Amino acid sequence: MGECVKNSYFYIKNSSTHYLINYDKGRKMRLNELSMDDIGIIKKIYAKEPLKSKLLSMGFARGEKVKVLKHTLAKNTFDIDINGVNVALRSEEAKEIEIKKTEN
Amino acid sequence: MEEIKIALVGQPNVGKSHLINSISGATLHVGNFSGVTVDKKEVEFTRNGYKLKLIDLPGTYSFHPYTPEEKVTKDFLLNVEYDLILNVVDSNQLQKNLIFSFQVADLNKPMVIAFNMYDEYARQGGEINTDKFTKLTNIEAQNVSAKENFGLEELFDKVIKTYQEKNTPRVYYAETIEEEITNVKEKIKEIKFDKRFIAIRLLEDDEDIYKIIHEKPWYVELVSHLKSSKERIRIEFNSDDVKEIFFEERLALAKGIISQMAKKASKEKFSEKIDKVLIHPIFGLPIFLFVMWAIFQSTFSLGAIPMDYISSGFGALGNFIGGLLPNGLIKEAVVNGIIPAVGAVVMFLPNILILFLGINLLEQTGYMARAAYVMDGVLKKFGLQGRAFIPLVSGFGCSVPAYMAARTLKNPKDRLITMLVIGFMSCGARLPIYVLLVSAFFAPSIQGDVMFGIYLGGALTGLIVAKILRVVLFKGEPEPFVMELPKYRFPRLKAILFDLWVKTKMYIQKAGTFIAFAALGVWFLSSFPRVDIVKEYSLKIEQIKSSQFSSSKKQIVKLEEEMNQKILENSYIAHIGKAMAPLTKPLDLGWKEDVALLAGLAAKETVVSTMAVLYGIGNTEDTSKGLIEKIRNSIPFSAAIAMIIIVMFYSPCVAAMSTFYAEVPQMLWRLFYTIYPNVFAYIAAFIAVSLIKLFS
Repeated sequence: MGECVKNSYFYIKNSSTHYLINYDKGRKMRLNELSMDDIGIIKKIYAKEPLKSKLLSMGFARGEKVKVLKHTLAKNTFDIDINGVNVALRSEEAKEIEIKKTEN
Repeated sequence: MEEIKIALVGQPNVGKSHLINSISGATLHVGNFSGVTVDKKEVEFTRNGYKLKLIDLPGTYSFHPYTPEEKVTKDFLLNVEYDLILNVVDSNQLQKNLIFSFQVADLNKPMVIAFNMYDEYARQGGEINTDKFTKLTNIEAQNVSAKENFGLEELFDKVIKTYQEKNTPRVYYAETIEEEITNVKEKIKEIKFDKRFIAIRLLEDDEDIYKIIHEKPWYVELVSHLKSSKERIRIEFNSDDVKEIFFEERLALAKGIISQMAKKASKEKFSEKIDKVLIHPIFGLPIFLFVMWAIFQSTFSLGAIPMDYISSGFGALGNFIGGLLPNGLIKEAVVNGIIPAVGAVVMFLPNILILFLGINLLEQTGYMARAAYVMDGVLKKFGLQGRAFIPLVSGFGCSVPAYMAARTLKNPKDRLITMLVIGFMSCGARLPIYVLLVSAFFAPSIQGDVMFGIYLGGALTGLIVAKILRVVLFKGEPEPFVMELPKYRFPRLKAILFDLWVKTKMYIQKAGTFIAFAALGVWFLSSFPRVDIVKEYSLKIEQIKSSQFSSSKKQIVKLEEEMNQKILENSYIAHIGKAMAPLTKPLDLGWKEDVALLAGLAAKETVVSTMAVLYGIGNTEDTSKGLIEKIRNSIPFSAAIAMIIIVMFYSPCVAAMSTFYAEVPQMLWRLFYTIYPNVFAYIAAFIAVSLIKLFS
């Protein structure tokens, strides 16, 4: 439950025009909204080229499982596990990846 | 003997360099960071009557190049003649690696795959059935471990076999895709590449291939077919990006093949555990700063231990050779010119080795990439990105490889900014100057901290300058930051020792040749013209000798010293220095310091050797320690600070400058790079000296 509250707060802060209730329904969650140890399934990659190819070559593809191993204090930089590969990326890049959060 | 030319390709950090070292017996540089293999390395050896020639290509994640280095690899694979591709794969990351392998397989050239680091994989319970893999893909494969040196001979057997049979890969995609590949293929007429490969690349929107074919007469007809083919694939796969579909296709293929040929390894938790501490959200940055501080602290404190021995060794050597040579010009040149200068430079070898060892360890263990992760947030504030951290840190070792390491930055703006501030990261050759001045003017208890302060100050200034450059000259966002964090690995002792040995050899060689000659030149310029002065003084000395007073000996020594001083004051070099003097007077620098700094443009080591010659330490017993004493007594504190600051910021050596020129083709930027650090150094030194005067 704690995790959930944290995420909701984050959400409100970032887009004031939506309501908390939308959170679990149709809203599309992005990778940078996950917290440490969260796991998600990749839904879509919005990044433009050449970043998109870079992400794909690192293994970020639809249907793959990602886990947030670490992020910096202000969530500027993330350390993501994707299929046993550790990839560091910024929240700007993580924002380009839509995910669906899953339970461990 | 028949030669087989082999292109060695693979993703970064799969141990390609390592594999090369294990074959030839010669150890090259092996690092953990993406992009260590910048230069083209070639290895030749013979097996079964064939001459095998391996060309090591820069690590590449995919055929859609992202960095200039990846472009190098793609250009090579497309445009250069070779017989076979040897693709090195990290067994621990099969999925990610095979996606690239299948792109390479599309080339339809003879190909062999090496599943490297198999020892680690097997230790975690993993297993790869290479026969199965060959059956599925028609690519010969071999499990190898470059580290434990197994599988390599079998690998080369398979390389030769594949070459003899001209065996090419058979990797096929889903039915719809294959149908469209065939459709496009039929429209491709004469071309030097494999038609299926061109068809695939065109479907994937590969601009490099478009460039190649767009002047062909059949291009127009092809394009319209291509459009409908892509459309059909998009509809079939319910996605709007064919390139992505191909990635997913290869991923699915990799998964399928892996499930048939490999037994999964249990997850390795070692790196994750270490990362829990080292890149902790709160402690990560302080830990990093502590690591850097520890490296500079030990550079200073451990490096000081052998200093005394080296300096007294050179003192003894000077006396010994002085005794052998007859009195005269040659003796003077050797004893007063070359030996003290070379000694003063060699004395700092331990410091430099420790610094290099530190940077080397950071790289080999895999911490360097973590440091980039930890520093990214900080660097972003200065308009750079985490990846820029690697060239910047390499700059502490030597600017030359640092400029080359900047190639990992894709965005030309990011690259140029990084390269323009690399000079502010004090290189190893500048260390002796700092050690000399800091030892002379600061209490022993704080010397290590002062050194750290100098390096930190240089680095921070570099960052601020980077920010200014970003805001004023290079508007725009920094490039995206996506970087693999390689697994932690224990550094290999052999590789490190070899590296240090090479460094030592090169340093001594430089001290023995370049520095010795430079010192000889400085000595000559500082000892002539002298005829009139020598005449005048030898007359006086003769007079005293003939008078036979008890104090005559002391008087002679005093007169000789006076003579030497006078020669120096009238020498050519004094004229040069005095011509510069008005310029550096506001900085409290004397003409000797001017000359030393000028010599430093050739190589930073010559700053110390020039000081050694000009301050005439050749006469004292203990060469280098004598220099520290002499300098403490001869130049004011403010001048020492000015000198430190100038050395921190002014132009690097000729070798570094020419590397920059080679990497940056635009004349305007070359000019800017040549001028601005010197102006900056002058202003910074002037402010510091003014502040010191104000407060004292």
